[in-house]
Amino acid sequence: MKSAKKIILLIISLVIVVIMLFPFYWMFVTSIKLPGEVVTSPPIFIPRNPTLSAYYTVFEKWPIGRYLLNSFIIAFPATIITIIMGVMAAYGLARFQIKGLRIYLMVLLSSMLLPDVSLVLPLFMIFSRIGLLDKFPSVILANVMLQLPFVILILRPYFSKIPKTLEEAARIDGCSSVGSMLRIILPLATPGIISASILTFLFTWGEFTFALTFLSSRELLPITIGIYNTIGQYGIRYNLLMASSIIAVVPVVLIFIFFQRYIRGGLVVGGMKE
Amino acid sequence: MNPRRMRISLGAGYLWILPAFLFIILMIGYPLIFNIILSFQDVTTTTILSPVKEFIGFKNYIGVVKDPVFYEVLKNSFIFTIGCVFFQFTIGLVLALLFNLKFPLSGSIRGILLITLMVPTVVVSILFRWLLSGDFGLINEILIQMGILEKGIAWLAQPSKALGGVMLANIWIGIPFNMMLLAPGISAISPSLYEAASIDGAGPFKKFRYITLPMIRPAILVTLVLGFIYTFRIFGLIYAMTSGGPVNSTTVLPIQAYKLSFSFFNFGRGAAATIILLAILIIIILIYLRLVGREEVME
Repeated sequence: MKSAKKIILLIISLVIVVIMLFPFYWMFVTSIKLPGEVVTSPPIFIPRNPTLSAYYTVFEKWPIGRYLLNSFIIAFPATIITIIMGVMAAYGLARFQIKGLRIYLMVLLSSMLLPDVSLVLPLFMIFSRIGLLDKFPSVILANVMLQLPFVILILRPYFSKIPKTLEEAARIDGCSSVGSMLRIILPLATPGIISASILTFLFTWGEFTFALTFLSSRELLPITIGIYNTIGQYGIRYNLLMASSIIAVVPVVLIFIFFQRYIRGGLVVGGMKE
Repeated sequence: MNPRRMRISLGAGYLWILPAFLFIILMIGYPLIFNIILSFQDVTTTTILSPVKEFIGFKNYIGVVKDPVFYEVLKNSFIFTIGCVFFQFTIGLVLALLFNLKFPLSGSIRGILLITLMVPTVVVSILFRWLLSGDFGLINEILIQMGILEKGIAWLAQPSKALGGVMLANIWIGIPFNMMLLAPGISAISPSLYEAASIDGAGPFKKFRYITLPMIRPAILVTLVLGFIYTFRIFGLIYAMTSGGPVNSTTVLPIQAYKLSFSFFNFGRGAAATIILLAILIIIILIYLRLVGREEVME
């Protein structure tokens, strides 16, 4: 391709990126504006007196710190539980002759397509009966449920790719089945496990429906529901809402930047996760 | 390996999948069946605590369908879904074609766009509430500056415009998703096909129509069907933007189902509405399987 054409294509795609990502920029500049600069016509694109006062306010007046902590308290165990069960199942489905393998895969695939609202009511009633409502485990379990089928499906190909002879050699050298799995297979599947963990963590971080329904105590809310609840309570003050949105997005952006390779790999293999 | 070892390792396969299997049965299978049972029972705030609930046949389903709102809810659902899928898919396809061309940074730019998929939906909701706000929202301000509007419109507060506003937010998330699903198929097409077409004198449009489109047809079908399912079941994004309002103008089927249970506390009807939602999704999947199946037979 001629270089002039390449440059035109580059400019077109940069324009597209700027348009697509402009909402993020707007979120950020709104968060560092003084209230008077938020509501202006014409809008101010570069704040004249950038300030972090909105951030101070959300940390002092809203329990944003607490919400952040709660999000971690939910997302970490959910990720660990999902990955442990997901790795085991993906390994089992990839390495052994399983009767009805196609049926298992179909079940996993179709459970990924289920609407949240078709499970939130029955789980709400089950959890209320066993006293789990308004406690962290209810939301942790719901997130494991949401991510587990997806994790099994994206991990299985990683295990299938590893040559069987490697494991057989380990067995002959006296490794047990579990030993060869832990020592030989697991290290080779690490890239897949990293990408599955990151995606599980990020999706759990952003989960809305189950947290909204199962948790009601203010001190238990994750940041997504915390922000949602503040919309009505304080009137709509967009610099504060945008500051708290930025706080909720920062971990996502950091993970995205550092692990971009894994995220893309995982999404392409899974092929289909919103 | 001797036969005994073989048998042990066969059994071991089931042991590895057992925890996930049990978990899925308990957390997905059982709740789904429970949901179906609920949909045939009289479950409201007064009966929710009693151990035996009355079976009322299809009364919940009739109640959901005969609700005067139901027709509007279905209409909203289909407008929302078809509109979103159309724009996400078209723009996603154009971007996938663009980024398939080799130019500096094409790969990294495509990668950066995927970030919209990772942002919590609540953040997207609040961000678009602000962008679409009637008072100093950026979209209004831009339209006013361009002379298209004289005065700001409260997009999400007007029944005639709110659904469009919600669609805009969802299309924004969906474009990179569609691009990502379509890109591998496009890059897998052999360049020799295009070269041969060039020799035969085909222009870019003809190449797209007679090479690209037929070659990525399977990917297009998958993308459309997944796009439809994922869009039809959306709850959080809309709920956090408008709660289904104003006056039900953005109430789609999942929101109606959720509200029946958790705002009106008619849990039986809420369950019935989710079963109707599932039935629609199953019909879509069956249509897809039929389309794919017919093509396989033809080939």
